[in-house]
This record gives sequence, structure tokens and C-alpha cells, in this order.
Amino acid sequence: MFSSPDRRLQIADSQIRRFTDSQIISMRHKNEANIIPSVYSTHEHTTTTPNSPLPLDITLELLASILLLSTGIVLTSQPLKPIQWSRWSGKMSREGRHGTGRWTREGEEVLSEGDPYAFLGLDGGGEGRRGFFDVRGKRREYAEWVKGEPGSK
Amino acid sequence: MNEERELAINPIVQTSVQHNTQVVSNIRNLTASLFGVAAGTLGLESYPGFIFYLIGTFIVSGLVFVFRAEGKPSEYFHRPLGDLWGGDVFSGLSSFVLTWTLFYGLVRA
Repeated sequence: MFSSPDRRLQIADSQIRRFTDSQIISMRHKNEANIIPSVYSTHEHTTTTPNSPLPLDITLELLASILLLSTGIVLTSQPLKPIQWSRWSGKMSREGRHGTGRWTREGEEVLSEGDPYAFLGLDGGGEGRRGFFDVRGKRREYAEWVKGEPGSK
Repeated sequence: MNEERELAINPIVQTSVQHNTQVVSNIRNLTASLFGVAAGTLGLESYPGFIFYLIGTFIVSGLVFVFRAEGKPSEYFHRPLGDLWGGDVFSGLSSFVLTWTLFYGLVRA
């Protein structure tokens, strides 16, 4: 009814050894297939021999599989964002606005968050400070007009 | 007063704080029910079960600390002790008890 303890330990051992970067993403799905047999073998064990303690190999397999599964959950979760404004905006200006790889139902790609003050146009380039009255520019124009006025006469 | 001045010099991005809290709470909810499966299958009763849950959440916090916060929790959490190590521990407790009793009943009883 039970596979031998050595074989089960071998399976658990090979599961740990297969802990490589390429398989981290698929680990969650692989280990769902690992926790179910250990629960089932516990069920079989307790129905056949209710009063004996649980064999060590089942316990080890269960603990190893939930450890791997929770590692997979942590690794596949979304990355955290820096909370300090300087680091957060620095990260954004370094990386720029890019697609996140997720798509809306309408077929538009979801973009990462961008600079919330981009509409001010402070970075120059285009028009610069759109929506703001260019006080310095107007003052310069006026000064030149005042200076130029007597000369033209 | 001191903290207020500190926040004026280094302001905090609220959306990032919300995002990080959401990520931690997702991880907690998923892993809590998982620990419930394990505790029920191992046949733990009363206090050992809760201690098992606390140890499990501590290990998960350690995993978040290493893999997600890259060893610098103050960069991602306003109060690392409360938000990372103790964040959402008790909200996951109910789903832990749910799966714990379910699997204890399925496997043991």
C-alpha cells in the first residue's frame, strides 16, 4: 500500500534538488501534485492503522511540499514598490513607462505607472510647462520692447 | 513632531504602500490555508496547531524579506516590524482554522 520510505525520501530529495531558477515559476503547479499524495497517504494510514503515529516520511514530504509551495507563492507574487518618493520616482524615471505584459479585454496593454507630473512638461522637450503662463518669457519680451522703443524712434 | 518633519523631507508614496500591503495580504491568505491543510493532515490539536501557524507565517515573512524586500524592508514598508513581520497575521488565522478543521475532519476523523 505504501511505497518504501527510501523511495519517498528520494522523491522529496529530488524535488529539493530540482530547485533551479528556470523551474521556480512552474513550481507552484508541480507541487500541487506533491501535497495531494501526502495527504492521501495520511488518510490511508489513519484508516488502516488508526492508533499508530504518522510515519516520518509522510510528515517530511508534507512539510517539504508546503515549504516549496509557499516559496513558489512568494516568488510568483508581484514585486514590491519602493515607498520613499525619491526612490520611487527615481525608479520610474530610470525605467520609463513600459508595458506590464498584461492586456485589457479591449486589447490594450496595461502600462506601468508613470511620472504623475509629466503633464507639467518640466522635462523640457516639447512645449514645456504647458498650461502655465511663461512669466519670465513675457517679462523679457516686454523689457526688449521697452529698450527697443526709444531706439526705433 | 520629529516623524512629521522626517515625512516632510522624505515623503511617502501612498499608492506604493497600498500595493505592498496588498501583496503581503495576498501571500498571507494563500499560505494560511496551505498551513491549515498541513496542520490538519498532521493531526495537530489546540495549541500546537496555532504554534505551527505562527512558525509558518514567520517562515513566510522570512521568504518575503529575502526574495521580495531584498533584505531592505525599510525601503518597502513604513514600519517593517508591523507591516512585514506582523502584517495580516491575524487576518489569515481564520482561513487557517477553516482548512485546519476541514482537513482534520477529512483525514483523521
